[in-house]
Amino acid sequence: MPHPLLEVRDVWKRLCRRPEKALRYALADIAREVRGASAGRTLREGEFWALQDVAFDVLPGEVLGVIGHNGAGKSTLINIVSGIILPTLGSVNLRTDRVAVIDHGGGLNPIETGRENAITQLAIHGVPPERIPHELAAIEAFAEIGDFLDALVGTYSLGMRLRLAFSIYTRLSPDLFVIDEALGGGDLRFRNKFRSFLRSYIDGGGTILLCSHDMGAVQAFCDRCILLDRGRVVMSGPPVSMIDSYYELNRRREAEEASTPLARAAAAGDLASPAPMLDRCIVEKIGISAADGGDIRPGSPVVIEVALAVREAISGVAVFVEIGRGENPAIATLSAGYPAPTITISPPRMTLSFHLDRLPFAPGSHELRVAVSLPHSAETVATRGYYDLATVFAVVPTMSAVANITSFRENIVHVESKWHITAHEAASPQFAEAGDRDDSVMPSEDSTAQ
Amino acid sequence: MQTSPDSPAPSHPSQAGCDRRRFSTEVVYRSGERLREPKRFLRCWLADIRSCRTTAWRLFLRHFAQQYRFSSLGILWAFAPAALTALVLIGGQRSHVIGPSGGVPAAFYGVFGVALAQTFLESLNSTRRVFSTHQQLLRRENVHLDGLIVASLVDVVFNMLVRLSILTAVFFLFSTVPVPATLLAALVGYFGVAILGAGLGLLVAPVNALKRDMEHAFALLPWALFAITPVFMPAAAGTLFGTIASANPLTWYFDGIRAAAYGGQGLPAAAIGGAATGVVILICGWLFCRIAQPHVVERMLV
Repeated sequence: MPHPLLEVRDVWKRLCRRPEKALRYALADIAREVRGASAGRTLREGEFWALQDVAFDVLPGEVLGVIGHNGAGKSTLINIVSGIILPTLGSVNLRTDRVAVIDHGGGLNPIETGRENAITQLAIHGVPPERIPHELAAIEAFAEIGDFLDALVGTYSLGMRLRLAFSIYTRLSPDLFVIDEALGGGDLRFRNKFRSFLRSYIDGGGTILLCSHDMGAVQAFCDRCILLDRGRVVMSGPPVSMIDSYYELNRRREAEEASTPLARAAAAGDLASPAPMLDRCIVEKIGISAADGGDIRPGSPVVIEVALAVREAISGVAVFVEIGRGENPAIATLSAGYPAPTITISPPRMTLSFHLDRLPFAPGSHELRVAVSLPHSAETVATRGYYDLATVFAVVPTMSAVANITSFRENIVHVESKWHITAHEAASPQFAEAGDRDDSVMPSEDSTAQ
Repeated sequence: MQTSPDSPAPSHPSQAGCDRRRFSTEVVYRSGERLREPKRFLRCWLADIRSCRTTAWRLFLRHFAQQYRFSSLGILWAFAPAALTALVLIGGQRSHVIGPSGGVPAAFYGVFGVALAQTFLESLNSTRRVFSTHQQLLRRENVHLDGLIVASLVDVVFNMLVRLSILTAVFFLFSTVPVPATLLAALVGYFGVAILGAGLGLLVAPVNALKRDMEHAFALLPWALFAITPVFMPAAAGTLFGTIASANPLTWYFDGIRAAAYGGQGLPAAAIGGAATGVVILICGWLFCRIAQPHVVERMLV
């Protein structure tokens, strides 16, 4: 087994969120370093542990993903690995001094031309002066910004700046790329071009430490992931399972961090709080469960139950259950007793059940609201979830690469489909005009996608 | 990593502020151990200075472009302040003559003093802002701090040479004394003023990056400096100004340079002594900034 290219050993990092303490603590830390004393594990006023006991290796040729919610410690970790700041405790060992950080900043100066910026960036990254003309030509070809290379960067559009910045990265050829969310900029074609560069870099044996919220890219590029939470590595493993755990962690975090007691109660499924009483009937409870008693997953058979407490019999009733997500418009409405035949509800209690053979919702949190009304007079008899707390339920993903993508794209609906692909002899007129004919015949294939 | 003819040569990441040990290409970042082997620390420093020339030159050009590109008078602005100061002072010259052997007019005394004071202040301000000016770069790259410092020094030298050219012209226009044998000491002393300023700037650079008060404080510095240093006119002995000025090391240093350049009451040796002190302070300031870099950058991230 080869030696790791990057070894992160028991790294702790404390940071301070009080700018007024910055100078005092900096001078104290400099004095401590001059004395050769250890920092210890005590926190001074205003400090917190941004990283705690973080340890992992990256082998040569490996792509390691670092995932976690905002504030988990990813950027601090990147800064330590790239040598911008030092760990408070522990160490980072790199078996190379060729490390390049890719971020959206690019370090471009608006008062210089694109060419001048490229030369400066190459110089900063240690490219020898005699190689710079060669690298410039390659950057010019990759960026495809034409004469703009000799225009001031201040006159560039954002997309052109990103093109130039990312083109410079392609000429650094480090042993380790540290990527901080930046996986290409500019238009879709250039993003694809840069991602294609990254893929060839990986295929050529390059090593990447990739921090990103783009779970599609993490899943596509990474061999392995670590999941950071509150400065600690809570898990490490294959990307698919780590991304699944990341979303699960997010769901738990959302429930924990719900800002109000009412919201926490809703997130916890506590429906004890009373709905507005419209004198004749109240919705005591609305709940959803998987028909098999397990987790609610996309496509699961489920039962939605509405429990009503009735004071006096009411006829001509319709019950509407709305399923939505937050402030967004409702995704679906289920109805009973509408348009006809209507329902008659009678004291003291009744329970109405809706049976769904296949729940068509993607993983995530959803809300249930119910309205009991009299359609003929448009009168509302009772509600829950409109003026008080909605019932929140979670659809749990079935761990898979597709589920991770739908979570990342924040899909709401789960649609099952079958696919079939057919090859045609005739080329597209667009390709034909470009003289790029492809007459190869593809085999016909069928499958089912879920 | 694969190597190919198209791959650039290995980069030389900064040693500045990073606790690293190299074993061929091995780099270690660990807190608290950099100074346990001072010889290695110094060797890395010298190696980084050698390897940062291109970066420093590019950063100097960038700063130069920011100052003069697209201004109507361009590089003439570099000469304007020094030339204007000389013109103003010469325009108001009197017949009073300074120096033991006929010497130079009072206006030249003022021009010389302003050139020294401006050189000192400019170099001090240039290096004390080394972290704050480049904070965007320092926050996203493990960049050569040495490259940034050298770029600042090149800027200082450029401005000094501009001022020196004006000073030389004024000297030959007004001086009635022959070129003294100590002129070389005067030149060394003049360069030493820039080095002293740069060294003091580096010593306060970490504080300057983390305390906004410093910008306000340093806006007042020229007035304080002109008040206690004989810049425009010599300090009269026996007066309060004379007493304060004589306790100011810069007085001795400036008078020493003047004495070496065209004679006068100072000691030419003070010019050399001041320059040597400047070199020591520059080295101390530079090393201090290297040690301080990660601690300062960490706080600039907040």
